[in-house]
Amino acid sequence: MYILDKRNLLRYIWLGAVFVLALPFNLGKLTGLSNWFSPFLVLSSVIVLKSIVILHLIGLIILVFSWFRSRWFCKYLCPVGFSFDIITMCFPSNKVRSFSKIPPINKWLVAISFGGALFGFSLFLFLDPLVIFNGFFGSLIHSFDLLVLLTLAAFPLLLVLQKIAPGLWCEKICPSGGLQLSIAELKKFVTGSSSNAKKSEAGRRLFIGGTIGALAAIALPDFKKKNTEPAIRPPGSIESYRFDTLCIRCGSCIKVCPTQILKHETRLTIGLLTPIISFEDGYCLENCNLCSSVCPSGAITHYNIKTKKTIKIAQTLVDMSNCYLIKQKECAICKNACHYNAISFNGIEEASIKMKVVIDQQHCNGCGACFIICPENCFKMKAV
Amino acid sequence: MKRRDFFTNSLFAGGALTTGALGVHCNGKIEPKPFSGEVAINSGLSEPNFIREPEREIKIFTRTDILVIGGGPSGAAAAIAASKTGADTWLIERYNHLGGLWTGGMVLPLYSTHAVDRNNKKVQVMKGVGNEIWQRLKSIGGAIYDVDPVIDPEAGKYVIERMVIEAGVKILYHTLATNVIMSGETLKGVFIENKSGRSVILAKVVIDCSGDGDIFHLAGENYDTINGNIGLVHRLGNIDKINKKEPGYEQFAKLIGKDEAISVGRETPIPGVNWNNMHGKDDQDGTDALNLTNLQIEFRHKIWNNFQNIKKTPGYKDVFLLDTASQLGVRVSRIVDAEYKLTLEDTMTFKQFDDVIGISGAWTTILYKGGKITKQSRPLWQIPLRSLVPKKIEGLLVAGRCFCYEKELLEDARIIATCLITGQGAGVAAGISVKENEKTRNINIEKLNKELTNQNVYLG
Repeated sequence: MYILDKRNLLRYIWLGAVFVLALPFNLGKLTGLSNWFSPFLVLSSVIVLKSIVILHLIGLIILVFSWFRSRWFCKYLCPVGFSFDIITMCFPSNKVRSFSKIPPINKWLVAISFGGALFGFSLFLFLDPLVIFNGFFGSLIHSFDLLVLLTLAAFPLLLVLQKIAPGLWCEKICPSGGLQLSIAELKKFVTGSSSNAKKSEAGRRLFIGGTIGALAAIALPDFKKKNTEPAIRPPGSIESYRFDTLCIRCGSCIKVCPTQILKHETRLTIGLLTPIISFEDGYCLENCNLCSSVCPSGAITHYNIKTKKTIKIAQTLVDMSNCYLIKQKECAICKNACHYNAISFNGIEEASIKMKVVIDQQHCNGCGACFIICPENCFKMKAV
Repeated sequence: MKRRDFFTNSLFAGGALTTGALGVHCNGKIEPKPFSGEVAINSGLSEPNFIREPEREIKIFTRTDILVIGGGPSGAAAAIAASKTGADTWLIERYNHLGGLWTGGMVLPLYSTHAVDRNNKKVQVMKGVGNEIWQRLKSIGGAIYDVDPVIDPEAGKYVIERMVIEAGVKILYHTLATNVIMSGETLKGVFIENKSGRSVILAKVVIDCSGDGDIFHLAGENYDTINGNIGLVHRLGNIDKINKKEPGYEQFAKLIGKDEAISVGRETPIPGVNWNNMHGKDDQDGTDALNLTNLQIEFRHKIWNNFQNIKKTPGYKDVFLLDTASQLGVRVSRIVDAEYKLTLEDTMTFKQFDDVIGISGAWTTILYKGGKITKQSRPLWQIPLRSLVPKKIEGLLVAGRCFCYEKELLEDARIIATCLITGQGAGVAAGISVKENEKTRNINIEKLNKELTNQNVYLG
């Protein structure tokens, strides 16, 4: 039977694993692990970051593998592709469509993305099938926000597209497929089995696409950015203007955060759907670096827990007007909650019995512990 | 002048005898030897920094079953509980009243009396002696509010004293325990000092309710030292005479953004009298007399300045400084090394102990596992006898703020209600230890449980 042949059994197991890893179950460092299997994603990140971490090797090995086995990724690892197969199986269609007249959008997307990647913004990373798949499940957590849900509806929409025009996405649009097609093309160049016309077409595409990508990468990040209040980012995030362009919106950090303080950015800017910190019920734990270890894009750079105290998340400000100390009530909750010994109490004046809270900005990393614990909401957290 | 004479003279002139080194170990025996007036010095140094106290005969003031050191909330509860078990009990107190920081220290509110149980229901956990004090205070108008009551300090002193006497405890005021009498690792009694001079009380069990753990420190038990903040509470009178119609009052109130122009503390059972807490200074050694003296002077000065500022505020001219507390508000100093160290985790997870001696609540909002647990939702927590039994020393129990808990639990474990609970637990355990002639760490848990229940202690 079609469903149970060996190849499909493997794909079922893989899909199941990717599905479980995509769910917001707080699976620690495994959350969203499948992102690292995408050659398109990993290659772009490596170009943008100009550095490499061990997990990048997974995607790079698969990339090398696709040199020998064209579209191996699509056949075995792509959860979207396999979901399409299931759709086709459930709603069989006799229509056979040819997309030969449609230009290779996917190859263009790849050229533009890598052009942009050289200038810090891989434009179409969010179209990577693993990002779409993982990002969709990221929308199901914490707060139900219509905007978030609508924006992350890409995966269901793709399923509908597959029903209407089977194969269109995989053959002509998906940039991950485009990368593999480009590699197959490159292989032909190397082996000399490619015509001159094809060579010049590919060269033109690379030049024009790359230039468009580069220009967009330089121009876009300023889009609608000026009048927006900066958001508080996860610890270890790279500079704000690059974060928006580097983050692939996979939602892994939001899923993995043990205190659930990471939320999607819902303001309509270039940073839409990037992770932002909203201190409500939790703070950024002193012994946790999960968001940085699951981030496949490098937007949240990996850091060691020991160095966390030196990573500034936000600036903590205090307003004494409601503080218990001014009313001479016994309270040291913020001081006791601070893991970095950044809070001390001083007299409001030299000879006063009334105290004020003093924050040592050198030691404060803006974890938000005092902010959430204060019974009188005396603290404010400000992006740095 | 001979060298010996010179030092003898300078000793009497300086009156430095009382600062002598604490090297006295009598090993249970007190050998008569007349006081010669001579002192040995550490030879070789041109200016010695100590004198050697000569051996002398010390009168035994009394022999008793149980001796409680310190008459604060834990000491008073311990003495009452011990006496109720039928044991002969003495209580010594360095000031002229009972209740310690609760009354003399004017830390008037009683927090942590209630907590959330397993069924998520708020229950009163402080019963037994603590509850009896509270209810008696309430009945004579000495306490206000039904939850987190605030008491009147003089009513508190009176009620606690009556209860201690009614229980048959013998009190010795104006007396400080200055040293211990050891037989090996077993505590046999203590030296006391007062206007009558130095004498000895021998006891089968000593309960250290000194707050600073003076006794386990002297006995050579291990302990942790935590330097906390120290303040000084004061009371203001004529609060009901504040004239809010006085020209300028409103402007002042607006300036501060509150309905009152200047903070004058919170109300007490006496109309027109407010108590004013003071956070004071952080990271202070509460066992250093010179430091305590400096703080006392500094705080009195600040309180006076603050009072002058209040009087200058429009509408506040009739307010007067009623009194400052008779003792400094030392939050924490020594924490004994006992058989079990109570953890914050224990208090958050309904940890059960076979040797439970009481249940406390908690009064602070805390961070727990990355989240915020409000004081209203804090669970009740059991205190085991083992956290009152020092690891090494026999014949000694520790109650009050210096029993054994981890630093994370400090804010909740040092509170008056908890002191009342550990005090009563220690008193009952000491009573059973005397009755059964058994070491405090080996007493029968069933009998402990039964006696605590008899004394209305809430055990869950």
